[in-house]
Amino acid sequence: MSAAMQIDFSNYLDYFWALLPEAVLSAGALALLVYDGFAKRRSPEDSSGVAVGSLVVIALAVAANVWLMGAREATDTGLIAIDGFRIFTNFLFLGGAALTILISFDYTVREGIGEGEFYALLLFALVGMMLLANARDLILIFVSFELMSVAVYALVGFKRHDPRSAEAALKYFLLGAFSSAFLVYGMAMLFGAGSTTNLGLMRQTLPAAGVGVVAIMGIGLLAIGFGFKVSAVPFHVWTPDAYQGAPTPITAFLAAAIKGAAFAAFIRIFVVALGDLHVYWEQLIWWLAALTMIIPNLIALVQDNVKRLLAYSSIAHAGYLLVALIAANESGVASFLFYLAAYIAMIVGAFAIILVLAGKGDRRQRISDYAGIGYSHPWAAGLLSLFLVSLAGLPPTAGFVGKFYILRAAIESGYLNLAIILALTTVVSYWYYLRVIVAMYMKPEVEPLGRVVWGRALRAALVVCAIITLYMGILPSWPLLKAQQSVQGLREVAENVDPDTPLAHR
Amino acid sequence: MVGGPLIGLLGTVLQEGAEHAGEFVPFLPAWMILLPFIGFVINGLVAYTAPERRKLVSVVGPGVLGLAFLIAAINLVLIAGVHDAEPVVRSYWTWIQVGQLRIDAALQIDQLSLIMALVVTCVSFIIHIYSIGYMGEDPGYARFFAYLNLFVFFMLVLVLAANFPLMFVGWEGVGLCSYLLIGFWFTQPAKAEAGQKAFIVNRIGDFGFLVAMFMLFAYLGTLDYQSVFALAPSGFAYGGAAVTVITLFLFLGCTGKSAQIPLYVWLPDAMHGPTPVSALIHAATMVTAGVYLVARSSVLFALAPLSMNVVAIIGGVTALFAGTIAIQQYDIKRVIAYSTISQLGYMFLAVGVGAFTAGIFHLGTHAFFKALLFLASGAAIHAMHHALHHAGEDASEDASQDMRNMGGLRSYVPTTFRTAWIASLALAGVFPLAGFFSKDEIIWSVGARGQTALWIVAVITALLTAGYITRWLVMVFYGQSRVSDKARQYLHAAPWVMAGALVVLALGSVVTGWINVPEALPLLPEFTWLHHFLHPAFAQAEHIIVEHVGEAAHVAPFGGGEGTWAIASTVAAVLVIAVVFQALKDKKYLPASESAEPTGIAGLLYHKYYVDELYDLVIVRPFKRLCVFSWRFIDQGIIDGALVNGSAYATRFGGWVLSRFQTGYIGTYVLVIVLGVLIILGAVTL
Amino acid sequence: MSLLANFYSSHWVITFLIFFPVLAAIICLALPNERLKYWAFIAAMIEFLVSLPLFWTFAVGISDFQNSASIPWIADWGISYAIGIDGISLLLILLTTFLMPVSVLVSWLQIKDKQRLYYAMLLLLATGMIGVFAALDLFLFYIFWEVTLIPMYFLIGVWGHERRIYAAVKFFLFTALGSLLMLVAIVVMYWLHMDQYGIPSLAYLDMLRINVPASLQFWLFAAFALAFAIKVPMVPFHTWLPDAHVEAPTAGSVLLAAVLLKMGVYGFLRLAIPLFPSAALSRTVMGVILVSALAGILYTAWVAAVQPNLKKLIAYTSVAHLGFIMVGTFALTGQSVTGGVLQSINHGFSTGALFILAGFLYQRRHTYEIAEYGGLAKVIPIYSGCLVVVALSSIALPGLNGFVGEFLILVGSFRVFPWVTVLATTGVVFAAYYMLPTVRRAVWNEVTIEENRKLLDLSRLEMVIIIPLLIMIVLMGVYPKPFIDRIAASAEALSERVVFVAERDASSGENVVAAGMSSPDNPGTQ
Repeated sequence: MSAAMQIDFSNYLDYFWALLPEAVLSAGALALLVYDGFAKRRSPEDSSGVAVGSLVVIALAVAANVWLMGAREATDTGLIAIDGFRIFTNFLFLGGAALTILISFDYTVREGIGEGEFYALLLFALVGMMLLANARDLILIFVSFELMSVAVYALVGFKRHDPRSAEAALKYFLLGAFSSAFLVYGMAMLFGAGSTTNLGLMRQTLPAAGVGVVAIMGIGLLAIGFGFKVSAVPFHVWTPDAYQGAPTPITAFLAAAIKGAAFAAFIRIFVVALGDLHVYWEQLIWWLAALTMIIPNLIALVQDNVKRLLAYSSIAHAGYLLVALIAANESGVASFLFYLAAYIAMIVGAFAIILVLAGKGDRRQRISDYAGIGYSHPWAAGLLSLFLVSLAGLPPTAGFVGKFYILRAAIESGYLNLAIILALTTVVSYWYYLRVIVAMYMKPEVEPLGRVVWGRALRAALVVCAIITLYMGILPSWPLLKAQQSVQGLREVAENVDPDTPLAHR
Repeated sequence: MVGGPLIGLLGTVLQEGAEHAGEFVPFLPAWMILLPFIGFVINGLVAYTAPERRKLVSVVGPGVLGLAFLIAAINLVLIAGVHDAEPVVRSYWTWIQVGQLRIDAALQIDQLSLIMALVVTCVSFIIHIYSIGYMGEDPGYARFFAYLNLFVFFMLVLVLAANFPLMFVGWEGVGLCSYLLIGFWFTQPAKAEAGQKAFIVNRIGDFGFLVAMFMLFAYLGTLDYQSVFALAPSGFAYGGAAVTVITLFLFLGCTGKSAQIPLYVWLPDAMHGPTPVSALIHAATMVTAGVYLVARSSVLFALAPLSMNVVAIIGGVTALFAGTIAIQQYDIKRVIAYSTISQLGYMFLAVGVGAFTAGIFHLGTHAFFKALLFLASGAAIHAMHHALHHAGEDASEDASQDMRNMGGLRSYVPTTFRTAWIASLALAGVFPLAGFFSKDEIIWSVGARGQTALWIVAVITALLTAGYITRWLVMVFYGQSRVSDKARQYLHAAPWVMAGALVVLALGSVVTGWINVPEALPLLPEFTWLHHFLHPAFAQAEHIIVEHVGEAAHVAPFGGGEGTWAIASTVAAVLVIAVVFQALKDKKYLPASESAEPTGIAGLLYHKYYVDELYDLVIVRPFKRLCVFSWRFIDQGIIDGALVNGSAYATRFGGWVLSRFQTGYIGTYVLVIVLGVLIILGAVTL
Repeated sequence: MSLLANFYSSHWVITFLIFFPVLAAIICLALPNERLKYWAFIAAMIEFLVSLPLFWTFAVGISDFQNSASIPWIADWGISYAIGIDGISLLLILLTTFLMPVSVLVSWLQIKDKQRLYYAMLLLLATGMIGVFAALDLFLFYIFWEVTLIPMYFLIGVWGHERRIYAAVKFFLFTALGSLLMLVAIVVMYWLHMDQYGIPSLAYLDMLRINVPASLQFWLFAAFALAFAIKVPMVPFHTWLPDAHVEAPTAGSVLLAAVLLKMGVYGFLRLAIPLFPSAALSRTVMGVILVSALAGILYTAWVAAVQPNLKKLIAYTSVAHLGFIMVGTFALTGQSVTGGVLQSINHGFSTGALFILAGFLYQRRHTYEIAEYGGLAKVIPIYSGCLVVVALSSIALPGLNGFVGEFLILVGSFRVFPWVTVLATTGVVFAAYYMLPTVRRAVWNEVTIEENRKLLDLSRLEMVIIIPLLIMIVLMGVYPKPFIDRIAASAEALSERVVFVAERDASSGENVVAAGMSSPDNPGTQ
């Protein structure tokens, strides 16, 4: 199998090659399910076998993805894209999933949710994500959406003994289904307007057909559907409850990878397929972005539960990513990729520490529970501070470089106002990130936390996250370069830079 | 202090010996300044490390000044030997230099600065000697001498500086020392308060000085005396706005430092300081700095007739105003304090009418007899305090300084008594004492400049002066002693050092007048030596005045030449003294404790025209209120409260409100989403 | 010793100064508790001693950057590790390194718990401060600018007094608000350079070449100016300062007043004014800035005059002093700018010393209420002596350092805006009005409070701390020339350039305060 093989989707085998990573994952997941069924385990909680297995599967998928880097596609109308964007996002999702699994080891044991399905579902969701992010056909997008969602619904409710978990799952499921409806409607209307479901073709057909009410309605509904998935205000309402109720590793997974996948699809549709119709959706997304930056940042100020606080913080980050999206130019997409990578590292890291500090039954999740741990548990506090600082976007961390990049994208395409909103809301966000740090370092310890167990796997995950956070903050050249290259792979990005319009007037 | 002519003679002789070229080469000028500083350092270290080593202090303190005095005298003699010697500028290092602005740490040695230096070193030397006795038992002995030395150091910087900023260093330096010395007994709140008042009021003046310097630099691009005075005539139009404003700002500085209306209020309070301090700083030297400043920048003032008039008028009014107050004071030192203000007024009157030499002349003579008066009262207070203290009575400052408690001291402190007489006569301007010559010249030149009104003021003030000083003499030294019999037996004369100092000063009060005998009175072969001596310093200014105003007349407003009026005035002074003396000598005074507050005119004068009260009401309190208002209302209320924290709370509150929508009920969520959907679809389709 | 020579002629010395503290901080985290404070002191001393020769190796009279280097960092963004010093930054850096050992020693007396974190933060702070003064790349500048936030935030919040958390958060958010808008402006500058030269760059010298469109110029200036005005701080953005100072531990107050505030001044001098000359000199901006500077000089002086709390009082006086500096900065004459920088240094010594002395007193009496003192001169004469001297230098007594700076500022500004300068000069009166009563109530008078009777005078260590500052106060008052010489060239070059550019733009139709700024025949303009 020569590395630089051409894939033109002329026969089904091509599809197999094109979907190799996904195929590997699916197969692996199924195998794990079977194995889990028959394997004899030492204790009902212990599912480490499956966990390790899933890691192996992911490793294989990574290998497949690496191989895919050599592949070239003939047209840009294939059902699934094979381009730098896909490679990059695949790596991100795989990495995110791997980190999630690493931090799940002890958690599942501690919380007594040791069923092997946990990991299998994770892998299925992963497959869904990777397809979603890179599908070039509305149908496939929708299907993979559901594939991902269904798996995640289950995962969110995985802590069966915990009512909050179940409740979260239910809400997520109901509203998810609700929003999927909008998605389908939107796709239908776009199909009606452009008479194709293929994004590549849509580029040509849509403007040609002339943009009528139907198309616009379609765009709007799509935006709503995606708005829900990426939890953009006002469709974010499910997020805090789902995040808070879900098992913490899954919360991390939700916040990082899944949102990322939805965003990727969002970009593929809006920036690539509908890029030329920028003027039609610009306003809409602008408002979504603005609201999504402002409102959650405000609400987060009054949260006392760390998990919930980070939930709002992640909504706000969706707002920042929306800015990258609306910029709809190369650096916009590149900044999205860069930011996503950084974001996965820091949010997973943050949740990992919360997960440990929460203790059995996730009791300690209030900010006040963190009082004084800066001195009783310096490492935990130090790392958590690092991740929070990065989330806040302070140098010298990945979060800062990412924000800088998004700002750059926004200003290049003239969205000075969004840039300013971003800056101001960031100041607000400092406030609640600081509250955690204040508690950790400036408040006297109330009730000692006692010994906390740091599993080996979790430590590994933390180290990786911390290294990435710092590396991308201090020496960002390489990742930046990669991000840019992968975007160049994304063909015919609608270039939306117009230097002649003075920024001040935008 | 030797007679002027002799100095001239001696000078020529020395010059022959030293120089042929006939140019003036200063002798160790820097040491004049360094010596007092060294004294300060030594005494300061002693004060901190070994305060009990009084011997060392008693040697070093006055010693350094003795040497400084010698150097000053030698230099004076040298320069006197040269006819119209050019000023010599010695630059030691560059202090500040940016772009065109260049300020050197440089001294200018010329006739004017040397006369000043001589007066300063001489008087301060004597007063240091006196202090050995006066401060003898004080625990802060070393500290006191350290401060005194530091003061002399700054005073010499002030008079010898070669540019305005450096003069300003001395200017504020002496202010600092005055602050420290007024509050020398800092444990008594009143004294600390007084020192602070002096400093702050002076700062108002210094503000003027600073602005004047900025303007000078802006217009002439330099601040060195030499260049400024060289450029001024070309750089400024005669009577132009610029130079007028500059000189007025300078004069504002003078009113602060030299206690003229409206900034004189600090000086009476400054009497809280130890008496030698009052004598040295608040009579002889520092307070005359303003006069020196005007004389030094005579060229600028000459260019601004308006400012000259302002100076003259302020001076005259202050002289009269303070003179009247002095009549009704009972505190032995305050009488003299107001007398000082009044005399300073005379000096400004003189320089204001362009008689710079007369101003400096009076400055010199006044330094001696006024210092003497203070030291005399110091001796009296010393005796009183001692007595009351040992009698176990109220020996507080008020008690031991109130003249109503004194009386009949002449038999107890004879030396003091006699010297006090000399000083008083000198002050009253009785021939042949120092005051006669200097004051007479002022009055004369005022008249000769045709300033009739001011001339009348000056004459009246002269009579007032004779009046209040006689009252002072009588109340302190004549009549029945009003202290209790018990205390009386403890009254004793001052230690010899103090007495010695008194005598020397008395000598000075006699002879200093003779260095500038008016031509109208042919008493000496060489007339108006000082006038000739200082001529180079004032030639330019006088030239400008003559050019624009014309020569001074040779007759007083109501006819009569200088000689006539001189005789007339001294006769008048003697008459007044005699009358007042007769009137008061048998008057019975009640001790302060029993006597009631004076009322009517007397009360008005006694309360110094209620000026302090007025300032307090109009300026001090409202300003304080403004400060509190700014802090409490504007800063804490509006800026920090409403704006800063307000916005923070608003943000948080907004967050709280929004968080209310997060009910946890799926219904609410659906509602929110549907609303969102409707709005969006509405927006995109319509 | 060619090696050493290279070290001091290359950027390495600066690089060392920037990054050595980080290393030292990391070592701090590893050391056992009892060794910590010694190591911190040693590190600070190394820092200082290494920086000291710069004072002489720095070539006097040259206005452009020395010890500079530009090493590509984020290549394809045109961002590089570009550093260098000129007359304006040199003394600020030296001031920082000078105060580091002092602050460590002060902390020896005050900081008893959580020392590890404390000294680490203190050292990190040094990195930030020196980095800000040395950075010649806007990205780099911003990073260091933000890096100073966290350590100071910790210093205040962890080791402060009662309301420390409030003060710390206020400090952080207030400063962050400004700096984030500055970040947006920086990105805009980046975009402009991209737009006009086709290549990405944030290097300072490239920024100077950008021709900022008139429509943007004002807003960009505003964004930068806000960040710096908050830092300086200028009225009405000053209210974080008193709180921060009152709550901060002594070392924190010292560095905050002495260095962090100067970062604001430096920002104006290095970025806001040179990058947007015609905006900076436009009537409106000039008006706003001057009004707020005057408010700083007068109004905060009034407020200071009635403060019952010693530290709060000193904090307000800082605002007043910085007001003077801002007047000088915007007058843009050789003298005034030089004076402004010099005064920044002076203020660093005087106010630093004031805070240290206040701290000494707090160690003894555990209160900052002035009313709780009184009659100290009798009990602790040496201490009182120091306090009086420092207070006098703070009210600009000639012969001490404060005067030189203030005089230069005012004499330079007068030619540009006489009226403002005259008003500013009244500040000297108010200075006396707030400082002397304070001294009186604390130092003079009879001892009334019992606790004050048995106070101990300065210990040997305290002497070691305070005497160097006193020496500098006197030295820079009597012989400031060496310091001035190092500043002047850069200051003059800067003001000339700015005025020139502003003129040029003005001739192409922009309204600028021209009066006195221009006429070269005007005396005093270099």
